[in-house]
Amino acid sequence: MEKAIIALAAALAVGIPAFATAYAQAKIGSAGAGTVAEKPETAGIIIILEAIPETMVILGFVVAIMLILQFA
Amino acid sequence: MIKEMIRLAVWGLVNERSEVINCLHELGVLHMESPHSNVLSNEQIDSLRLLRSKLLGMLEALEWDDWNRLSEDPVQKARISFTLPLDDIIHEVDKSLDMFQIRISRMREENKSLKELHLKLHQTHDVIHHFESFLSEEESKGMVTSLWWINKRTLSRSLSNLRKEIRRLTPVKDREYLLYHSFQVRENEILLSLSVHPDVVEAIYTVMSSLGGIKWHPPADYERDTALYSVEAVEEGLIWIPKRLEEISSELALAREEWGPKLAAFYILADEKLEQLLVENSTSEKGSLFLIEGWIPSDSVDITTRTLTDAFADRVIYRWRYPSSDEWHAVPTSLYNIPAFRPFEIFLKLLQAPSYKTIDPTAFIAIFFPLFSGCMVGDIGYGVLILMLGLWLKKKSAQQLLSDLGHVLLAVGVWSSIWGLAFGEFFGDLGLRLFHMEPIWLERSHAVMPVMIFTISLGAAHVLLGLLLGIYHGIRRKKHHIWMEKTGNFIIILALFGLLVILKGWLPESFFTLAISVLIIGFLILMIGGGMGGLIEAMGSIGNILSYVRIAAIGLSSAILAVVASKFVDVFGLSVLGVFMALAIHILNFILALGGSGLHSARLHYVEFMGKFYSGAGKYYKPFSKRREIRWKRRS
Repeated sequence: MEKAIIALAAALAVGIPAFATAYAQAKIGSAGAGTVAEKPETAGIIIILEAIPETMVILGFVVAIMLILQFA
Repeated sequence: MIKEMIRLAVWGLVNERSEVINCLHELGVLHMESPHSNVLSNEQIDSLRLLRSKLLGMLEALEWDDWNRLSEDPVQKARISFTLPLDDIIHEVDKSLDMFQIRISRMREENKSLKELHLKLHQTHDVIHHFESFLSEEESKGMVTSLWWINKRTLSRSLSNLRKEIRRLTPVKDREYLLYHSFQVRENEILLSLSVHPDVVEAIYTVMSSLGGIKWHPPADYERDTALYSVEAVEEGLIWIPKRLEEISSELALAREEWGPKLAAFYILADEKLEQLLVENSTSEKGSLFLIEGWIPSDSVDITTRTLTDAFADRVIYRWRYPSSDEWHAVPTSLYNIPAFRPFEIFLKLLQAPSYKTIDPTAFIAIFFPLFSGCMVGDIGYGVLILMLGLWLKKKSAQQLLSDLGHVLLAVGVWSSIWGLAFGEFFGDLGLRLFHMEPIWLERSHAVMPVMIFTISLGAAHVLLGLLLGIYHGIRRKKHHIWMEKTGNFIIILALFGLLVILKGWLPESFFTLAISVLIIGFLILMIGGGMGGLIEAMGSIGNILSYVRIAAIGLSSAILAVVASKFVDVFGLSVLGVFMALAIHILNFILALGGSGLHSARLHYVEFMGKFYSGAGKYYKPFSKRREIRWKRRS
């Protein structure tokens, strides 16, 4: 039971930020597509902006790993 | 690094202005402020602008776009004719262009009309083919056939009216004759073929016209007595037109090959001449003297002054000076890096140019980008593939951008292989399975925490380096709030790091008071320099350091995916399916590793590292020079 709760906690730690990242990337992506259509030279910056919200899911992933390593 | 710039002022005689400016144009070192103003206008400038547009229009009409492969030959040949007086050149080129334009326009128009005719003939052929059996059967009976476009809604009404009219005209003893066959072409359009007795043909025309029907005809030159007889002419046209189109296409290709480079060369020279005229018109004049000013790199001063003296002796006067700190914002930025680092300047292309007298981060990017990227990939197999891709791009690509990208990939490939050795990975665990390859350092898919701690430490070092550069930048620009804020930030991070080490028991507890004291000092410096904003910046810096854990996280996911690929061979055996699945997963992982590592490593530089010191408010050094590659097209 304890292991199941740890697994659930780890899943939530990575799952919730993943949703948040996906939401942010969707917004940035649609705005970025419009920007690139208007100014193709901004493509590089848009790609970088697209990668910025990934910090959330990466940190969530780290927390999940730590939960598993510490408690499981 | 950013080159030292010099403000150069040249005075010369007004009657030698063109020669002096031509000399500076040849040298190609002087950066002028807005010499391309559209406001500047006179008869020659306007004629040149028009000529340039015409040349570009002709190149577009010819569909010539080989700017990257344009050799020096046509440019040099055209340059010889450009020694004539400018008005004569403009007149002659303009006249030739008009004649050439007529020829090309004729060919393009013929090409266009033939294509349209070809399409129409195809449609005609389809229509005749559809009604062929009906028409031939009816015509063999001596009946008259005709084809009509009608609206779908009027079909039944048309037929009913036709029947009434034919009944009225047909003698009582005879039976009225009307046969039809319809074919729906579009949603509301129907093509109706009618077959009637020759005596009632006129009535058919009257009735159909009154109901809005339009008689169908083949294209004018292909119409014969009946639709059936037209088919032969249509088929001949369908054979002849493609041949003629091919002839026109080869004539155009020949003209493109012969005239494209010549016109492009004239375009370049017209562009150069226009730029020269604009510069001439933007110089200031006083009595019999003119003045031209601009920025040049300090290492070009000797060559510039020597060339001017050799060409004009004492008929030109020049003065140069270093820019004062008030002028730094207006000085263009010219980057200089060693050949191994220069390709990494592409990372600055995504940002505004660094301001003059700030720090060029290219060298740091060249060191850390491949290191981080390679750590994320961390596989000898993938590293070798990236290396090969980089080599191929560097050797084969004619474009500077792709060649630079190849160089960056080379460095990433080398570091990926080095990290691969450290982690003992060759296409995941294939190295272990085949050659019993052991990691030199640790196996990252098992030792997750050490890799995470290592990457955070790497991040701390990188962020601290960024802060050090920020302090240097602040001191150099004499901005107290910048260097104090960065120093406070730097001390706080160091103190927190020290506290962490003490709490872990790696340092004696007696150091705790010292660490707290350092933290308070850092906090005070930070508050003096940056106030509350500085405090937020300090918290952001800690977040920035934690962000480097992505190197471990992405690396771990890449390592696990590579192991998963090998597992497919375990599950399916050494079968076609097993090998195919393993290869597919490896390809996916390779693409993800290459794209992900590059993107995240770039982000770590742009956001976490360069955010500490980079001041992108400058403008790039763009000297007034000849032949500036891609710009010819861009300006169009």
